[in-house]
Parts: sequence; structure tokens; C-alpha cells
Amino acid sequence: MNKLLSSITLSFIVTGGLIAGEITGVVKYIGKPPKAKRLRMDADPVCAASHQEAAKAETFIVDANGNLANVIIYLKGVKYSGKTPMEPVELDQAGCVYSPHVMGVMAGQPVKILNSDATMHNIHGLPKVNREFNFGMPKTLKEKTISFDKSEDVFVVKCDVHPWMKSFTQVFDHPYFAVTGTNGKFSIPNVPDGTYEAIAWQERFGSKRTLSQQVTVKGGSATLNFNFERPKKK
Amino acid sequence: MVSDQQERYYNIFKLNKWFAISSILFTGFWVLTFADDYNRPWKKYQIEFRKMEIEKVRSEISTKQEALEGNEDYQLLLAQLDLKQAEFNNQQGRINEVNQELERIEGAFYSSNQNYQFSKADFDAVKYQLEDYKFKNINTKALQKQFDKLEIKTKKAFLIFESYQLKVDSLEAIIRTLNSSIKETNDDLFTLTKDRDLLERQLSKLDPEAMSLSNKVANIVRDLPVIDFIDPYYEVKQVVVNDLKEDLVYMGMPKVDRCMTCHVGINKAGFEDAPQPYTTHPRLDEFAGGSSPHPMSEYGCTSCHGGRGRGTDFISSGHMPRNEKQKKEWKKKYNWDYLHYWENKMLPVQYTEAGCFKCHGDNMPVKGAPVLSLGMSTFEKAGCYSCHQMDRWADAPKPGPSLYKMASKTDRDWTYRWIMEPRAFRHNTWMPHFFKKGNNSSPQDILRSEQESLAMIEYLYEKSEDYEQVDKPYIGDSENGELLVSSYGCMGCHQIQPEEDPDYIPSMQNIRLEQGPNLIGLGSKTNEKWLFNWLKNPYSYHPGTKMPNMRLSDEEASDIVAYLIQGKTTEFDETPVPGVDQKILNEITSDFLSQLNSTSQVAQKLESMSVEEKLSYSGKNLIGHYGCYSCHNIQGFEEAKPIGIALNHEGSKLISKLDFGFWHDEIPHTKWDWFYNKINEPEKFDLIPNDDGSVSVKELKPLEKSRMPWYGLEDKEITSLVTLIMGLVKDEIPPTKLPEKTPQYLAVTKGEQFIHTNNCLGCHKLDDEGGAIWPATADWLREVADNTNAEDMSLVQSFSPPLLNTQGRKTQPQWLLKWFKNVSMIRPHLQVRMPSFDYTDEEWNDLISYFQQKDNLDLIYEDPHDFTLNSSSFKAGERIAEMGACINCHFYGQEKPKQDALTWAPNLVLTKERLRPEWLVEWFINPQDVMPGTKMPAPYIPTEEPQNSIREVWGSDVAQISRDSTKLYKSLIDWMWGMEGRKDVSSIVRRHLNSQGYGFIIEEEDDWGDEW
Repeated sequence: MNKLLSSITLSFIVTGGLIAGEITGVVKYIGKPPKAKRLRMDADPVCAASHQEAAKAETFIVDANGNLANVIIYLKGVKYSGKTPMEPVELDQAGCVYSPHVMGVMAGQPVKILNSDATMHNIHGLPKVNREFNFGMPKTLKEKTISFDKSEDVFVVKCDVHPWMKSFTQVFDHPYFAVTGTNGKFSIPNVPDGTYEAIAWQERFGSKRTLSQQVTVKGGSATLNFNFERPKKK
Repeated sequence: MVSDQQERYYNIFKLNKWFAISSILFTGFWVLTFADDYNRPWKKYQIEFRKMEIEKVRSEISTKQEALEGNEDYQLLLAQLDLKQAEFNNQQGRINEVNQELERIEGAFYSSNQNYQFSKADFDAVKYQLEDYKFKNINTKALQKQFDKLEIKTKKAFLIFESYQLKVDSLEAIIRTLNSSIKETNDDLFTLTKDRDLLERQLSKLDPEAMSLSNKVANIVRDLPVIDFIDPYYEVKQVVVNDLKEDLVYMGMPKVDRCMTCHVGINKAGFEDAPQPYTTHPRLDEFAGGSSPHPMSEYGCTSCHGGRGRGTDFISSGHMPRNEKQKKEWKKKYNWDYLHYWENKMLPVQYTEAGCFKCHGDNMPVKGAPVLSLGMSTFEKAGCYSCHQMDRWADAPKPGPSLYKMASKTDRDWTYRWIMEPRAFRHNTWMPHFFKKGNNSSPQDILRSEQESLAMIEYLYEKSEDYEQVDKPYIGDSENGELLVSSYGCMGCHQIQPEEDPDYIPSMQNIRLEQGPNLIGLGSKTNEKWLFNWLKNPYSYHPGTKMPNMRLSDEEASDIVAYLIQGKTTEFDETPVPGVDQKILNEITSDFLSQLNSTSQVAQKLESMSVEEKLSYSGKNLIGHYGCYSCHNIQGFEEAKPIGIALNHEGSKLISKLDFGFWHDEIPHTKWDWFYNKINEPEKFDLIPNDDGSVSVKELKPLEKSRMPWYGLEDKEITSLVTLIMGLVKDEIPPTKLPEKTPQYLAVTKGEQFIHTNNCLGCHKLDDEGGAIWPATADWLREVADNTNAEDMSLVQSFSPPLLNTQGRKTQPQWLLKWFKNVSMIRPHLQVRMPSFDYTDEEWNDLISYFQQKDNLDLIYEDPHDFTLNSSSFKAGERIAEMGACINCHFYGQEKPKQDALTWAPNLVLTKERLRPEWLVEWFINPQDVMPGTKMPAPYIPTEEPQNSIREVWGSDVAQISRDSTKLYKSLIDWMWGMEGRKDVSSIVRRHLNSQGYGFIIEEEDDWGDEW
């Protein structure tokens, strides 16, 4: 019984953040950004009508200060034996665009797929490790929950009915990941002290151009910044 | 000294001495014999393996134990057991009392029982006698009295016995109740600890430390020298397979395999990573394992691997090294040498799959045997069966093109250059080299080869028939031609690859892409007119061609001709073509004439023949000599027999029948090495190796030289071919060991071969095989859209020919036959098109039957789908379709889908005559399960929502059946079966694509360059 109590206390300490820290940082892009393409939604009037201004592709969202959004930051090869959060991650289909455009989720964690549009979407995930899925969501079906069994590198989730709709999901076996916001900032909380390899992935740079660097968490916090650079022409 | 000889002629003393010496020697040898027998090499493997097994079982036990410790139920039960035990102990006084009472009445109980049994026996005897008396009408009075007395006695005895029985029962019941709660807990515990307990039992047999004292002693004693014949732990293990016979000099002896004496772990899971010889079979699910289809006890080991099964050491079992390096290692480690007098040596590991062919050679491919399958595929592609007669390929078509009308296709100069050196024209051609080989490359040889080529050409062109052709009506747009070639499906069977690919790896998939020739240099080889006519209808040129009719319009065909004819092979075209050399031609002609004529007759005939006659005469004979007709249709050779030796049992050929010529020291003396060298360098055995590494040619007349041509095969291809040849054995296999020849098996094997021969998987994917055209689809997408689209595999899949998964269950057989014979548009977005093949009805039926049997469907006639137009179910289906937005992607008759052509899907009006309702349900439940990667989403059906909300949103028709998903799917099918409308939408599709295109999502060009 004593043993049980002490292990509970210990895990509380670990997850409670007493000896765990937070990794924070900013991801920037250096160079002239590519132009964002306008999405042509004429094929479905419902989609077109839901945007006052023409929607733009979210492949590369960078602000005037070079802060890069939709970058997945994660720690590689971390062992984690704690619990999987049961609060669902949401993936909304709104205005015939996925929100968020890029997301991370833990294996076993519920993913709530929402349809905020008054049209029919099909949601087609193309994982390699997990089971491929593809089901229809008519305008009346507002949500459906799924989950992934295994961790897997980033894969595409798309809509075949609206070919411009494309999003990216990565499944982790630990909670140490984050996606940058439009200000390029991210934070990974509750990371135990230690040295890790951190990876940054952005869709336009692809898996061949992921960035990687070491980060050491000690005594509560660590800062980690990534700079994506415009690739040089061959 | 007085002689003690006593009339003996020998010396007793001497005799004793010799007797003593021989006795000592005998004892010595006896000891040595036993010592030698005791120290057999396999024993150390078994001892080592036992250690490994003990370690493994121990670690498994500790894992199980740990799991148990962590199992709350287990802990709870243990605690419960303790409690109950304590309780039981408290009751011990009562139990003792009961037991004493039981002991006390035990004697009385037994004697009461005995009394009763004896009395009953007496009574039964008298009863029988009484009945007998009555039957015989004898006076029964006295006997009746005795009977009555005994009856009473027996009844009394029974009552006494019964009373004791009840007492015993009640006492035992008391103990049982006291014990029962413990037993219950123990049973519960056992369900948790069963695995561990079984392992512990296993360990107690393996591990001396886990044994009882007596077993420990027995464990040592059973393996002591001399007495270890009784029941040793370490022993020669064997399987005897009675119905598999080993051919031991005219005697069929049952197969006996002792391999597992050293390969102790071969059929035990868990030793996958152990070193040899302890390793688990790498495919335990398929082989050796007790529950696999080929258990060791029924198939042995050598039936697949070859070797000498009775051998119990490394050499006597016939192990063969895979290469020189391994041979050296083995020599060092085991003092290895050939097992000279055992013909059926073990197959080196790269040829292991040869063993599969003898039972599974009907299949194509042989699943799980990639090397053998590649070998069979290469064998077919290279057309080996045309010269080397083979029952397995008796009905296979000629692998080369027909030469009946070749004069219309090409010209004499090109043909000359081609025959002399095919690979100079097309680097990856399957036409082999007959000339410029190691045995005919001297300057004189080449001069003769040139004249031989001219002679053969003379004959071929002289016999060539007319080909009725139309003129090409348009000049043609080569750019559009290129697009058509890349999108219509040509690339499922052809490549356009001007240069050799340094990264080429032979594979089934690559052979699919070589079904037809690499389409380079067509401008040098042929002319626009012929190519146009060929494209329009290949069957008009050669009825037996594998090239199908692509239903090209005149414009399309002209465009493709304009594109393909651009290919020129300049260097090749400049190779000079010699004129006729009368002297050499005379030599060639007389070589053939002299086979049937005397020397004077030869001279006479030569004198009388014109140059053309000599050319034609020699040409015909040379075509016969080289066997050109085996692969090509050639006039005058319709009945000719193949020129090569039959290969039906080549793998069983005695090695003494293979002539190693002058290469005894250079080539390892094995069948596979001989075959490998023969294929790699067919003229090898015409050559003589010199000390300096060069070779000379044997003294052979031109017609005595080895004719087998050179194919320029890669090591992987040769290895796979040797694997096949080693599998061509004449072993007698009992039907019980063969796959059962059910109608399903026969239909499926026939279909597999058809699909292979006709390269269906060049375009289609079936159960994850094939789809060789996919990379070409990606190239096309790159061309018409961009790189991002080309890299999207789901898009590539959607623009490639459809998957054939579940084809048998999917389509109505009658529709399929009609469609095969008159192909029409199904998938409106596709550019790639199903060609028109002119197979016979029988062939189409075989194919359809294959699909059906493969899907376990043997019903051909089925009831049509029953539905009522505008019924509630029909209306429900209509509503589900509306909510599911089916017509966003699907055509509904002439009504175009709402979406861009990029996402278009089949015309739903076709469904009722095309698809099977049963399959549609399977499809609706989860399309991904049926066709992985399909764009089709599972249609949403409201089964889990509250009834009133369904009524509100979906309407009452859906609400009525909303609890039953099968009914909901049926309603959707009802809706489709009720559809009327235009079936052929091809003109609408064409107009749309011409005006609006596909609507590909193309990223705007940025200045980031192409490397993205």
C-alpha cells in the first residue's frame, strides 16, 4: 500500500510539473515567402458563399515578421508511460476548409470531426500505419469521433468532394508536441528534465526538409527556436 | 624340457598370449566404439539447445510471474485463498472428527456392501433356476421357498448397506463443503496461472534444477554411456513420412528426415534470432510448424530442401554452400566437402524455392515464393519453353512477334542489323543474341554470321505475305500523341526508355512493363503506314498478338504515330550491311546440302542453284537450325518441332549427364552451377579456359557449335531461372500431398495464368499486386497538372485503371461478358481505357469464372434484385442519396456531377445492370476495405440518432427503417435500381473535358524553383 501511495505521489510530481518544464519558442521563416494561392470553390456554391473574401491556401502562412504558422514541433523518440488525455482534439470542416490545417494527436486520444458546413463532406484519411478511413458527413451530421491506434508520421486528411480541402495530422505516442500559431509561437508543457532531439515539420518543406536540434530542459523551462530558410536553387 | 604339446599342432602358451592381446584390443575397440558413438556431433547441439530452452522457459515464467504480481485479481484471489485456508484450518478439529468417524465406519461399510452383493448373487442364481424350472415344468415348490428366503435376506442386506452408504455420503459431503470454497478459489487462480503452470511443468522436464530428486537422478542415468539406448534425453530425432518415397536405387523407401536432430528449434517459435542450427524456421506459419499447411511430420524437410535426410552430421546430410565464401567458411569450420555419392544434394539457400515448384507449379505466381515466381515469369518472357519443350507451358503462345507479314513492317537492312545484334537497337530487348557470342566471334565466324543473316532475311522476305493497309489519313500531332501514349494505358505494357536504366532491378512488376517492346527507335524500325494500321487494329496484322485494340480514332492513331515515329537509332542505322559473299554462301549451302547428299551430288546441286536459291535454301535451313520459328511465326515451319532438349525433369538430371567440358576446375561441380553458367554464357562449354584467364574455342564446325542464344540476363534473373530448373523434378508425389484439385482450384490456377499471360496486372491492381502503370499515371499528372498532384498517391490511384479486388463478387457475370466484348465508358474521369481484346467466349468465361471462384462465389444465375418503384424503401434511398450528395461526383444519366471532373465517378444509371446488390452492401459498409485508397466515402446512414430527429431531418421513409442498416443500404440499392436515363455519357464527358478540363488544384508558380 505504501508503495502504491508513493508511486502515485511520484507520478503526480512528474506530471504536476514540479520537476518538469516547458519548452517554448518561435518558428520563423527567412526569405521571400511564396504567394498564397486563392482557392477556387465555385464547384460547390455552399462553400463559395461561406467566404466573403476568397479563401487562400494555407500551405504557407507567414506574417510580416517571418513568423511561420502550422509547423509541428515535437520531441523524437521519447518514452512516455503516462496517461493519454481523453479530451478530444477537434478537426472542423468550416467554410470548406479544415481547421486546424495541421494538428497533432496522441494515439488513442479521441478526434472529434465536426462539420460546420451546410454541405456534404467526405473525410478521407490516408495514413500508412493506421487504418485508412473515408466516410461521408452529410450536412446534418455535425460530428463524429474517431481515434488512431498507433503513432505515425504526418499524413494527409482530405476531402474528395472538395479537392482543395487538405489537412495534415501526425499521431504521437507521447504528449510532447505542439503546432505553431499564426504568431509562430508554440509551447510544449510538462516535459521532464533531460536532453531531447526536437523536430520541426512544415508541409511546404516536406519530410525531406524537416529541421532538427537538441534541446535541454532543466529546472522548469527551455527555449527552442527554429528558422526555416528559403531553399537555394540548385 | 619335455614338450607339453599333447598331440596339438599349436602352442597353447602362444595362443593364450594372442588371446589375451586380442581381448585387450577388443575391449579397447569396444570402449572406443562406445565412446565414439557417445560423442556424436549432434549431441552437443542438443545439449546447447536444452540450455537455451531452459533459459527461454525461465524468462517466460518470470515474465508471466511479473504479470501475475501486477494483476490485481491475482493478488485478490491469493488473499482470499489465505483467508479460506485459515478458515479451513479453524475447522480442522471438525474435519478430523469427521475423518475419524469415516474411518471408523469404513470396515462396517465395506462388509455391509459385501454382504449385500453376495446375497444378491445367491438370489440371482436361484431366480434363474426358478425360471428355468418353470420353463421345463419341474416342481418348484422347494425352490420357491429358498427364493423367498433369499429375497428377504437380500432386501435386509441392502437396507443395512444403504444406511451405511448414506452415512458415508453425509460425512463426505461435510468435508466437501469445507473444501469447496478453497477449491473454487484454487480454480479461479488456475485460470490466471494456467500459462505459468504449464511453463513450469515444461521446465520441470527440461531443467534439472526444477526436477525432483528421483527425476534428477534419472535425468543423469538415462544419458549414461552404454545404457543410453533405453530412453535417452539426447537422441537422434527423426520424422518418417511413409507416403513420400525416396528413390534408393530402384527401391522406393519412405522418407526419413533427421534434420531436427541438430536443427532442434526448427519447429519451435521463439528461437528466430538464435544462431544456426537452433534457429526457428523463418516461415513457421507456412512450414514445419504443427499447425502450418506443411507440418514437418507430414512433409519432412528434404522434400523441399533436398539433401540426405538420414544424415546426422553436417557433411553426411548434404549441406551445400551458397557461394565460394561460404564454402571456405564451412571448410574451415566443419571440414566440409561434397557428399559425392548423393545425387539429391541440399539446395543452397538462394535456390530453396525450387522445392515449391513440384507441387505448386500450376500457380502463377507461386505465392510466398518470389524468386521462383520471378523465375517462371522470366522463363515465359524469354520464351525458354519455345525451344525447350515443357508440359507446364505446352499451350503458351509464341513469345516473339509473327513474321508472316514482316515485309510490310520493316525492311531488309533493319532486319539484318537487328539479327546481328538486337541489343544495339534496343538495350533491353528480350530477343537474344545468336551471333557475336564467345564461340562465333572470330573474324571468319563473323563473316559467316553476316552471310547467314542475309540468307535468313532472303527466306523471310521471300515468304512474307501481303498486308492490306489503309493510308494514314492525317499528319498527326506528335505532342498530342505523346499525351495519348502517356494516358491511354500504353505504359501498362510498354516503356519508352531510350537509355539503359542503371538502377534496373528485375522483378515481376518490371516484367509487366516489358509485356510489349520498349517503344524506342520506331522511326528506324518501321514506317508510318504500318504503325497506323497496327495501332488501329493489331489483330489484322497478327490474329494471335497480345497487343489489344485500343479503339483509337484515326486522329488519335495518327497523333500517336507522329509521336512514336520520331524515335530514331542513328548509330544503329549506320551499321553497314554487306553484300553476298558467294564463297561463304557456297560453304553454308553445302553444309546443309551435305546432310542429305553425297559429295558429288552437293557439287552438282551447288552448280545448278542461283544465288537467290542458295540464299533462300540456306536461309530456311538456318532458321530451322537456330530455331527462329520456335518464337516467331514463319512460313513453312508450322509443324516444326522445338530444337532444344525438353526440360520437364531437368532438375532431376544426373549430374554425370551434364558436360562440364573443360571447366571442371573452374565451375563448382553442382547442377545449379552448371545451369547458371549455361544461362549466363550459353556457349561456355564450347570454350576452353587458358591459364592466363583468356579462353579459346574448341575445334568445332559451324553447325556443331552451341546454338543457345545469349539473353544478357542479370544475376537475379539467372538465379531465379536456376531456381525454376532445379524445381523441375520427377519426384512422385502422392495426391494427398498436393493441393486438392477442386473446381475452384482449377479455375483459379487457370485464371492466374491467363491474367499473367495477358498482363492484366500491368494496368490493374489485384490484392495489392500489379498496377505497374501507376508511375506512368503520376508522370501524366505531372504533365497535365503539377508535381504536387503527381505525388498525391490517392490521385494517382484514381487516375489509374481500377483495382480488381472482389471483381467476382462485384459485377454481374452476364454484364461483365457483354462489357468485355463491347467495352464502354464506366469511369468518366479516366483517360486510361480498357482495350478491346478478341478473346474467345471460352477464354472470357474462364476469366469470369476465375474472378467468381476466387471470391468463393460459384453461383452464376441469381435472382434479380427485387424492388418496387416509389415504395417507401425506394424513397428512403432517394433521401439518403440526396443527403449523401452522391450526384456531387456520380453521373445520374445525362446529368453531370456537380463537382469538377477531377472527382467524377461512374454513371449511377449503369449500376443496376452492372453490379451485384450483395456486393453493394459490402461496398457501402466500408469502401476502403474493398478498394483501399478509393475516393468513395462510406455513405452516411442515420442509425444512431434519436427517432424524432431522424424523422425531422431525413423524413418518415428513412425513419421507419432507421434501426436496420441492411434495410437502409437496400433502400439505396432500390433507388439505383429504379433509375432510368442515359447510359452512354461519353460525349458529354468529352465536351466537358475539352471546354473545362479536370479542375486540378495547381499551386501558383512561385520563384522557389523546381526543386520543391
